[in-house]
Formats: sequence, structure tokens, C-alpha cells
Amino acid sequence: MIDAICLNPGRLPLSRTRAVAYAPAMDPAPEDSALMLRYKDGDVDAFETLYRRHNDALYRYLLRLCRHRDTAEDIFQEVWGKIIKSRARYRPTAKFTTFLYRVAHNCFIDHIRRNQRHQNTADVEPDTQANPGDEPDIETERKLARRRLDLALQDLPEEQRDVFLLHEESGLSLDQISHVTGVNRETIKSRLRYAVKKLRTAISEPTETS
Amino acid sequence: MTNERSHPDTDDVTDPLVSRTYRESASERVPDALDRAVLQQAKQNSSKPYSRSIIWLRPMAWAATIGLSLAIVIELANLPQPDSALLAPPREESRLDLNRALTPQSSEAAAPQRFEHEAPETRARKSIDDQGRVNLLNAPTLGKTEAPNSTSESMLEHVPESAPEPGRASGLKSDADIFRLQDARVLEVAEELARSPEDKSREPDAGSDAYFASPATAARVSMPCVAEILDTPETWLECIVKLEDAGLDELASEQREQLLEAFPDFELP
Repeated sequence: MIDAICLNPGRLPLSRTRAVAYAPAMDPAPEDSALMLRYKDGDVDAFETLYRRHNDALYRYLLRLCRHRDTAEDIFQEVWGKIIKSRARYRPTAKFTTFLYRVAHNCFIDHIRRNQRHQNTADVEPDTQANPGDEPDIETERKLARRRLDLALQDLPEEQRDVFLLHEESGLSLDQISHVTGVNRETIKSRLRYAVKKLRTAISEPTETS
Repeated sequence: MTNERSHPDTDDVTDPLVSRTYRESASERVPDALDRAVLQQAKQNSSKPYSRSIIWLRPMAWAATIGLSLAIVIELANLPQPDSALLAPPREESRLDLNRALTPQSSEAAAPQRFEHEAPETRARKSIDDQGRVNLLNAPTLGKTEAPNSTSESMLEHVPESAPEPGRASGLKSDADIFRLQDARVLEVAEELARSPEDKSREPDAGSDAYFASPATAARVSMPCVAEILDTPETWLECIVKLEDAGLDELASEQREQLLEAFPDFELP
């Protein structure tokens, strides 16, 4: 009965809706895998929903991983192109995010093998825009912290930066990151620990250094 | 990506300050052009991929095509062989036409078929070129007719005398003579076709007495006789009787002589 009430809450009297107040909240949004399966059957709207969920995170991941905007955009489009073309073979055996970032990771590795542009140049300027509601002193401090973080992130070894970005942008667990990168879980955990430690050190640096 | 994430397996290696600072700094968004390009690509490739049932259509189509081809080949192989007459060379076919033209019943209809593909000028020239052969057969009967305006008469005037020799009369039924007679018969039909419409309009009925009296029709009188020569002396004699009844006594007597030459053992009544 609770299921029925949850499905049609608007049609029920108040006395009954109060009974479902303690029911676990249902996520009305379909899962990524379901959206991908719908797109597999030709539903373009499902793909757009799926795309809107992940586009910005994937873009930031690639942007900070490549440190070159044009390269990131190229890889971004390549990743989604592969997702689109592989929809017929898609099987929801794993989390869609794992599938998406594994494709992105492989595209990035292929790009590294094709050219080395991303290693020597970095044209991505850190975002230093202030939030309009913050106090000037606090905002200045956060701005400096963000800048130091961005600089430290660019200085991280590629493997550590990759693991940190996967963890922060995609929200993947260590096992999932291990699956994406093809590296064992303990190595991932070690890389993440080193990356966080360096970034924390960079953020906590005295303000006079900047 | 502004909400806090909880990772139980990474809680001991992550730092909330680092995560919060990173999320505050990471506010880049995908350019609209890139969004549109990806969504456009997705829309273009949105056609439903082949389902399992549709995948079977291609081999089924191949199987059906091969089956139909085999059926057609087998059907063609089982067809009966075409008639040898249809595969005969054109010369044989034209010879059949000649034989058809020689029969009295179909002579009028067969002649146009034989020469319908030729222009009138060609027909006339051919008849003139082949006069000699015409006269080989008709000289005894037509050479002495008094018809100055007839086309056949004008042709006969240029024909050298070629009356059959007595010795050859007995060999008249050889293949060479038969084909020569056939050619002559066909050319006579061609002459009739080449005649002017005025001549045809002036022709009397075949049943009247004036039919044979006309010089133009004198040649036609011999036509049944020519055909009957190939048959029996009795039929030839009937033709001679007809000539006598028509008043063509000279022609009849010449035919009678030819009959006796051809069939010396035949006893005239």
C-alpha cells in the first residue's frame, strides 16, 4: 500500500499522506543505465537527460586532466561520440559513471600517445571569480586558496591528478576508480592519499607566498 | 558538483577542506557549442539499431534470392527444345515462303509478305533483272500475247527466246527446274503488285469471258497451269481446256505441246 501511495501521492487524502511521511524518499529520476537503455531504443530525450547529468563533471575532469582547453573539448566530444556509437552494445553490468569515465580515461591515454602537447602547455586559467555575497576578506582568502589549489593540481603527477579528479568529479569509489584506470585498489588509494596531502599543503601555505 | 560526497572507503585519505576548495574552484561549464554538437550527434545516431528479428532479414533475403534463382534455372533447363524450323537459317525460311507463294490459293496473299519490306522501285527493278527467268517458263504462253500496254508484255519484249528444248522437258521435275519455276512464280506475283492501280481497276471479273481476253490477264491464265505442271498431266490438261474455253486457242495449243513434251506417255483425249 505504501508503494501505491508513493506512486500517486496527489490523489490521496491528507490522512493518508501523513502515513507515508516516514517512507523512504523515492528518486523520481531514472537511473543512468535506464536512460542509456532508452536511448539505445531511440529515445533522444533520455540521452539528453543523461548528458546533462554528466557533461559538466566530465568536462572539468578532462579540462583539469589535460590542462588544455581545446584538447579537453576534443576529447570530450570524442568520449560522447563513442558513447553514442556504442549504445547498441551497452549492457548495464556496471555503473554508467564507471563506463563513462573509463571511456574518457582511455581517450585521454590515447591522446597522450598521439601527441605530447598537454604535457608542456597549460592554458587553463584558474577560476578566480568571487562569490558576490561573501565578505571581502573571506573571499580574498578563498580566492587565494583556490588559486593555490589549481596550481598545485597542475603540478601533481599525472596519475595522482587523475585519481584525485576521478574521485572529486565523478564520485567514484576506490574500487570503481581501480576499474576505470586498470590499477589495483591499493595503488589508487596511495595515489589519492599523496595527492590530497600535497593539495592540502598547498592550500595551507602562508598567504605571503602568493 | 557542489554537494558534499561521502566515500566510506576514502574517508581516511580525503580532506574536506581540499574537497570544498576544489569544488569552489571547479565551476567550468561545457560551452554551448560543444553541447549542441554532442546532442546533434546523438540525434543523428538515434535511429534504433537493428533488432534481432531485423538482423535475420538479410540472410533470409539472400536465401530467398538464391532459391528463386535456382528455381528459374531449373525451369529453364526443363523447357522443351525449340522447334528446328524456328532455328533454320533465313534462307530456308524464304524458301518456305516461296513454296507458299506458289500455291494458287495463297498466291495473292503470300506475295505481299515476300516483298513487303522492299520499296516499289526495288520490286520493279528486280522483276526486270529477272526477266530471263520469267520467260524461261512463260515465253511459250505469254510471249505471243498481243498486249502492248501490259507490264508483263513490255518485259517479255526484251526477253530472248528461250523455249524449252525437247530434251529438257523430260527433266522438268528436277530440283533446279522446280526452283526456277518457283522463282518465276514469285516474280509474276511481284509484277502484279507493281502494276498500277488503274490496271487493277480495269480488271474484269475472273468469271467473265473477258477475263482471259485481256492481254494483262493473259499471264494470269498461265499461272494455274504453271502450278499444275508440277502436279499431274490431268490437271495441266484441265488448264488447257480452260484456255480453249476462254478463246485462247494459240496459247492452249502451245500448252498442249508442252504437255506432250513433258509427259510423252500421256495420251491426249
